[in-house]
Amino acid sequence: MIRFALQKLGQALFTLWGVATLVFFLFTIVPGDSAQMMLGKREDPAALAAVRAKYGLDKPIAVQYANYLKRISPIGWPNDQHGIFKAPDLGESFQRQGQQVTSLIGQTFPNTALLAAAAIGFALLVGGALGAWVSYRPDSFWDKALLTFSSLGMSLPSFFTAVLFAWVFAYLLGPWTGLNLTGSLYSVDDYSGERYLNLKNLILPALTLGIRPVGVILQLTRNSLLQVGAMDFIRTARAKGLRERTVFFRHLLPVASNPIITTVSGWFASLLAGAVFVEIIFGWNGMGKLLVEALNTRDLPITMGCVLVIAALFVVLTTLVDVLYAVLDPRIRAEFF
Amino acid sequence: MPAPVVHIDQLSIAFGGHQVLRDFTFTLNPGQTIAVVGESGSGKSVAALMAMGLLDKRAEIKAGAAQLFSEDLLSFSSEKWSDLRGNEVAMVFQDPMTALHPSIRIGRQMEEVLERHTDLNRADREQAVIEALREVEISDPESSSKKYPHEMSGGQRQRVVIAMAMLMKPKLIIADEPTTALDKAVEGTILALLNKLVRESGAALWLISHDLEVVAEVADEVVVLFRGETVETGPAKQVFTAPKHPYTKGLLGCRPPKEGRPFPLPVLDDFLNDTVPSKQADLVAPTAAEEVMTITGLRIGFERRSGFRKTKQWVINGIDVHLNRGETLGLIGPSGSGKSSIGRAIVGLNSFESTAFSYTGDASKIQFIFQDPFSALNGSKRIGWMLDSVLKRHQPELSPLERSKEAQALLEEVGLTAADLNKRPKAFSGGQRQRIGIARALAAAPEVLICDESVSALDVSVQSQVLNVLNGIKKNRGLSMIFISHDPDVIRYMCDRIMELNPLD
Repeated sequence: MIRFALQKLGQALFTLWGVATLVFFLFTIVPGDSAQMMLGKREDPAALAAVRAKYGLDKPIAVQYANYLKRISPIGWPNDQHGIFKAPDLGESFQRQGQQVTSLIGQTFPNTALLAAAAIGFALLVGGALGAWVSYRPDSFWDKALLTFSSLGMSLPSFFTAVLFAWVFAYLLGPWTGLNLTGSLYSVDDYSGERYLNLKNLILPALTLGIRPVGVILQLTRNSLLQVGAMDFIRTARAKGLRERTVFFRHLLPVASNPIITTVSGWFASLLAGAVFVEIIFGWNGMGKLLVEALNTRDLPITMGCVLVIAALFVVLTTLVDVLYAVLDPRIRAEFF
Repeated sequence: MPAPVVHIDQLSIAFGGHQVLRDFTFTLNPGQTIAVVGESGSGKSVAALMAMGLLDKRAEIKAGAAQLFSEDLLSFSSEKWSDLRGNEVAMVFQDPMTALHPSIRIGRQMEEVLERHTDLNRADREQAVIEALREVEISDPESSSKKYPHEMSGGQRQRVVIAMAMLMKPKLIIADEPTTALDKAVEGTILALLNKLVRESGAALWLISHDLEVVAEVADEVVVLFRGETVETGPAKQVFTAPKHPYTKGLLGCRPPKEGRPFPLPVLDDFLNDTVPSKQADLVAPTAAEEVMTITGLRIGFERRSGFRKTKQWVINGIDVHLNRGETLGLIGPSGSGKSSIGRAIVGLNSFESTAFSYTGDASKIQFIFQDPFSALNGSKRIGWMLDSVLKRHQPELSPLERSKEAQALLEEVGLTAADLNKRPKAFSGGQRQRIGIARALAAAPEVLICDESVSALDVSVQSQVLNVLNGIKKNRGLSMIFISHDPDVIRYMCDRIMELNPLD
């Protein structure tokens, strides 16, 4: 098991290096002079040269690449004052002068992560429970009704549901629900200027983001449970006289959860990459919003930083999921020993 | 006279309006072994599943009564069933490869039975499991109980399934085709073991099988079912040696004989219509030895990963295969012996190494007939389309009209009709689908046919028909055949020459 995990870790590091390299070359060959972009509209050859020298842009590309790797690596170079581990340095924003990209991402990413976790958690609970419930009543009225509704839910684009939910729950029903049309996790008090946590602002964006995965998870759970439920070893479990609860949680679910894990982890990772529409519509201060703004203003360091963070998250999540598969299924483990 | 364990009276069961069991009457007394014998669709499993309370929800009891331990089992609550199952009644399933949970250690799976039905503490449960594994003669039960199913062979797994069923010393054991999925060599020992354990414990055994010959050894009585109806009952030995009903006679008579190679084999209809032909001429091996295919030093291996290292595990290591024109070469051996790998290697489905490979024709003239007729045909395509696409590829000189005539001729050659061209595989039975598979292979005008367990999934009565078709086309077309099977009787009957393979370690 440890060997398996180590091997997966090695693969993950290799992938990360590949992503970092790809990102570097994509952004260096991108049309437009980074130094000029930093200066904005000013035409000043001396300032341009100064910026080039400051950021090492006058050096050969190989040196720039080495410097870049050194900056973003979380492991310190030998003979470095940072020690073995250091925070990756993603550079400084072009447009928001003096702001570190790491701190910008650090401010927005937790918001996005919370939103994504709430949305997926909601989807998993509701979709999983309903899927399991109808899997015991295939082809019944409720089965058909839920399948229809989940298909409907899956086909609604999130920018549409976002507007719809905001309008219905925060505007029309606002006086009853007490929910705000827009708002982030922290609100600033108008009088004292203090920041305070406003958890109820999470509800609408999380529901909006969760509505599509609910449908997908519901159908996936139902189909997977039905498929595994028809297998011989489930009949064996029933033939042993085990209670249905035991059959479900110990025999059926662990085997049937494989496709659910795959989908949920993939979905979660893409939500972590920022749910742009929903963040913008609800004014949620997340990484998706940061990334879109950076793209609009051609703020390369922020764009690069976000892409790197998103890629790293994907790699970390898929690695964890791979290890999880092996924990759940001894046959996968067996392939590696 | 003690009360019967199971008593079923005039029971009829239907699935969605289709009767699968009609007027089934059955009494099983303590210590008795009764075998219910029949082919697929005979309803033999339905009654047993009902006696376990495991019948599909869609099944309807149309008429009749059923008692388990003198109580009306049709009125049992699910709670009552759950208390009985694994405790008073237990089941041994057909396929040990799928009957055990793939990701739970077998000892743990067995313990669950004790956890559910006894108050034993953990140490005692583990002890009882090891004891039960010892009873079924599993070597080193302590470490075996820590294994996962995929780490054991089919025979071992079936021993585990039997041990699990015997754990609570149930009064009734239902064994549904307990040896069908096992190699022939293991079959006898598993059945003998099951029989011995059941006799020792005094339980009643309800045996379900498609093979009268196998159960005749252990059963006291036999019930023969045909399309949901009981056609014959009686003492096992008597039914086996002197069957009365034509269907029972057919069931026994359709099997390839122990000696001689009469062609054609009698088929079920011959028995039902009383038209069994008298002595037939035997199949004979070709006299002139003209080589069609020669492979020397054949090696087939699979890559095994262990961490970052890859090693090659050989299943076939340096054998010679040669095939003469008009000959049937038999490959026989237990699972893991690589017999199927040879067939697959010849048509290029497996990679292989050889020192020399010579074949007189071109590679498209070697055709393959698969084991499972249900998964070998594309369910969305019409039969005519399937044959036409093969003809287009292998006989491009034919015009569309000639191709459709040829497709029709091919179907007739395998005993189907021109009307079947417009149907999809769903419309056909297993035996008919296998004929379609043969017709498809013939569309390539092959010189060599490779049949990989091509009749193993078929019922006995259907098997003889397909064997007749194969021998018929071989004779008419002068084909050579490589016939792969685990069944010694079929191999002996079909083949002019036999190669026996054993697993390499």
